[in-house]
Amino acid sequence: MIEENPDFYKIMDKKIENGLKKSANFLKKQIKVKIGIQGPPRSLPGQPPKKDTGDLHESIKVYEDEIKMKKIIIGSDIHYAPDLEIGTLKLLPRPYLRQSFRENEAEILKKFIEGSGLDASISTDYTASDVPLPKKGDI
Amino acid sequence: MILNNKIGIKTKTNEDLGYGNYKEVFTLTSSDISASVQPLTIFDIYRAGRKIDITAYKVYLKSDIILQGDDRIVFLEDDYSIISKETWQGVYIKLFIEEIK
Repeated sequence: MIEENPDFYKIMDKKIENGLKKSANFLKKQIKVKIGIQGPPRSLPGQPPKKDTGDLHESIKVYEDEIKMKKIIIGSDIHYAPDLEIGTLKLLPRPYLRQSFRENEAEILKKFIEGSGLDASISTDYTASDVPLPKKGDI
Repeated sequence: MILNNKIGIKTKTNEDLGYGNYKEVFTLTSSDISASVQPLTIFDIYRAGRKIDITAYKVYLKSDIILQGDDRIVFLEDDYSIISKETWQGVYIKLFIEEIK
């Protein structure tokens, strides 16, 4: 039973952190691939931006500041990065973060499991309210 | 109002804020934000071959898009919200695990 091992949650926390790091670094690589094609020609609306100066490409980073809260952030701090992702009045969006996430979601999940070392399976289509209450001795 | 299963209060049009006609702009309270985030995936975790009671350790992998630069929240698409509440600039995607012990 979990309750018999006081380090259980500590170990789980570390595993989850490792999983998130692996997922995030994988996603970072995929984003860089997506925006790594040298222009010209420039990207069309809806396409990821082409490489011009390379600044956006170099700016994609993983931020681990919130890792203890089991959150990890991937993105760019360049001022025009949001303009490309979501567009402006004069520029239609060239999404690269969302596209990279969507196209690689399954792989991101796999990387999480690999990185965490957890024996885990992925399930979908149910929510917290569907989860039964725990019974003592079930674990 | 409810848009794409998310609760929000429409305050300005996107054109007012310079975001073209891509989507609408809303402001939300912090409780609305958490209500708006839907889990993408739930993991069932096993230990020594036995399924751990998911209520004891429930794990979600979620994602948000975060736009940082001013105090706005922009809903872009069904599963994504852009949250902009900090002073630093940029655009980010956040992966996070939510656990209930």
